[in-house]
Order: sequence, then C-alpha cells, then structure tokens
Amino acid sequence: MKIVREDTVRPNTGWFAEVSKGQIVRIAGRSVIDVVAFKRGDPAEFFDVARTRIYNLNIYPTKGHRLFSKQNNPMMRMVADGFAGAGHHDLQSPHGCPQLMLGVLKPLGIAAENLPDPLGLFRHMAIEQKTGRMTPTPRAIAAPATIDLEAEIDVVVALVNCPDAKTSPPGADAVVTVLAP
Amino acid sequence: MRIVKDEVTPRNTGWAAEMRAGQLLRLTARTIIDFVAFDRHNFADPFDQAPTKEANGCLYLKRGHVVLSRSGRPLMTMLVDGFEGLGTHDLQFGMCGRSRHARAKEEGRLNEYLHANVTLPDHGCAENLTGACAPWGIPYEDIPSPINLFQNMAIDQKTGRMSRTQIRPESPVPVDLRAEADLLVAFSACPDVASKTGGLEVRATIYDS
Repeated sequence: MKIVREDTVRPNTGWFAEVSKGQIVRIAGRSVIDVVAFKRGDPAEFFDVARTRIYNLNIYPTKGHRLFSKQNNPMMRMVADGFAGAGHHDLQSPHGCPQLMLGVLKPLGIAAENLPDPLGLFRHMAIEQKTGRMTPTPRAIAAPATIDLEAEIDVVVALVNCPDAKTSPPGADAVVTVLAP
Repeated sequence: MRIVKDEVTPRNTGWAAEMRAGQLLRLTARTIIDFVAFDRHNFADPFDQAPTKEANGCLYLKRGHVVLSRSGRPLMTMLVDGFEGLGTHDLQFGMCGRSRHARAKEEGRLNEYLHANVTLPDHGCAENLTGACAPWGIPYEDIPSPINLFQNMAIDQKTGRMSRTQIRPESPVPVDLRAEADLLVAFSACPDVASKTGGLEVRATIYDS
C-alpha cells in the first residue's frame, strides 16, 4: 500500500483526515487515543458505540470487528490490533479530552451536541462481570502498538492523543498514517 | 405522593412526557423498556450512557446510581429497582428497529435474537422513540442510546462477548427514577422478541414530590 500521508500526533493534540473507502488509517501509539468518525458529506451519520457493540456482540473492539454508525451501517473495520494480548480498547467511556476533540472538529462544523462518544484506543478498563464494576487500568506497553482501521465507506476520521493520568499510560507520540491500496 | 399522570403503553409503542425536577417516574413492567431523558430546557443535552457508566463506575444501572447527561449533569437518580437480585439493566445496546432487524436478516444472524423462527416486527424501539419525541422536534439522530431497563445481558469479562438472556420479572415490578432536573422523558415498550412472552405493556406513573 502507498502512504497518502503520515503525521506525528503529540500528546494533547489531535488530527483529522478524509479517508476514502478502501484506505487504511494506521495508528501506532501507546497512550489513550479517542477516535470518532463521520460519513463524508453527511455528518448526521456518525460512528456510534452502542450500535458497534451490538453489531459485534462484544464490548472489547478488536481485529475483525466493524465500527457501525447510528443508522446501523458499517463505517470502518479493525483489520489489525497490535494491542491484543496486552489490553482491551474501550467502548464505555466518554471523551477524555472533549475540548481538544471539539477543537479538531471545528473546521468540520461539528458542535458539542453532535460529538459522538469515542472509541478509546489503549484505554484499558478492568471490568467485573458479576458486579459490572469498571475501573480504568492503564496498560503500559514497551513499544508502540499498531491499530489498522479500514474505511468501508468514505469517512472523516478525527482523533486526539489524550494521556489522562487516570486512564492512560504516560503520554507518548502517536504516528498516524493513511494508506491507499 | 400525588399522581400527576398514570398511563399504560401497549407493546411496541412509544410514550413521552415532561417532568419537573423533584417529581418521580415509576415504570412498572416485566418487559424491556428503552428509556431516554433530555434536559427539557436544552434538548441538545440528553441522557448519555458513557458519562453515566463512568460516574457510577459500573457497566449496569443500579439502585442509587445517577443518570447523567452528555455534558455530565445529573438528570435522574434510580431510587427503587424491582429487578434487583434477578437481573441488571443494560447500558450497552442501541435500539432494535427496522434497520437493525434488516441487517440481522441480511447477514443470517436472526438467531441472535434467540427465537430463530420469530417474525420480526416492521418497527421497533427506534421508530417508537422517534415517534414519541417527534412532537418536541427531536429527530432520530438526536435521540441518545437508551437505558435498556429489564434487558439482562450476559457479558463475559474475559472475551467481552455479550449475549441476550431471557431473564425477566415474573410479574410487573417497579423502577423508580427521580427527576433531578426539568426533563422530557420518553420510552419504547420494546417488542422484546428475545423473551418468551414477547413485549408487554408498560405502566408509567408520575408522582409529585
């Protein structure tokens, strides 16, 4: 695949890009990265954590799972999960850095009331099945892990590197690459 | 406590009402209810599953838990939970409805609704809640993912796998939610195709404090 663009996203900064169907967003990181996505040209169709959990019938997003919109359509598919085995990504929590994300989304005209809850990459939560207790439990990894998200439709993807002390391993640069077939 | 409103909502239909801070909503049922709430003075600040789970530190909604808005404001508190000890209320699901059913059928996954031979209704909670919220001008995309009362899910903490269960109250039991702000509340009496009985009616009673 050829590299369309490659950017370093430092802790407490964000990134967005238009990503076409078939392209892959490769995120190599270690600290919590909150991700949202919108259908390109129609931001009223957006990534939705509940439809994603139910479609996959799973609360831990990982390789092979699809990211769904609120209208129950596929948006992206996780085709690689380098964090598997070390920890789980999160589909339960609100944004760790909402103001930062809203700043990233401002050029797209997305206001606070239209901000969907995020996919929290590297946000490991300890979950107790019986009581339902959820406890943020950061899982530090020795080297950046790579997560690949393949676009199933034309999308706008936005993310922020959000190393909150309670939920994330220490802040580390993330490298975000868009790859075309 | 004085009864302000007392209504029975039939299976697979919707209901909505305004409430004042301090009033109590009692939902009495033995079937799944997809329930949402909005700040009545700011519909852009509706109930949100994520801050609610974070604040309560819990995947499920239980007695004593707060129900928070998208911006983190307390909207309601669960004071009574007639389902306690039998099952838990779900904060994972979206809503059933036409597009969800159509996709399950297209992918041959209807068996995940438990009754493989069940006839799926042509509408569900998505359509019921959209209809119930329409008089307030709130479209589908602005209706949050609900609290799924009486929807007991089996969640495997190791694999994350979720499956529906058929655990429901034997007879109607109450869930009491106190309004902590002026609210618009709405629900769908779910068609609940996963249960043995199918969806059943829901009684909603609002009490003055």
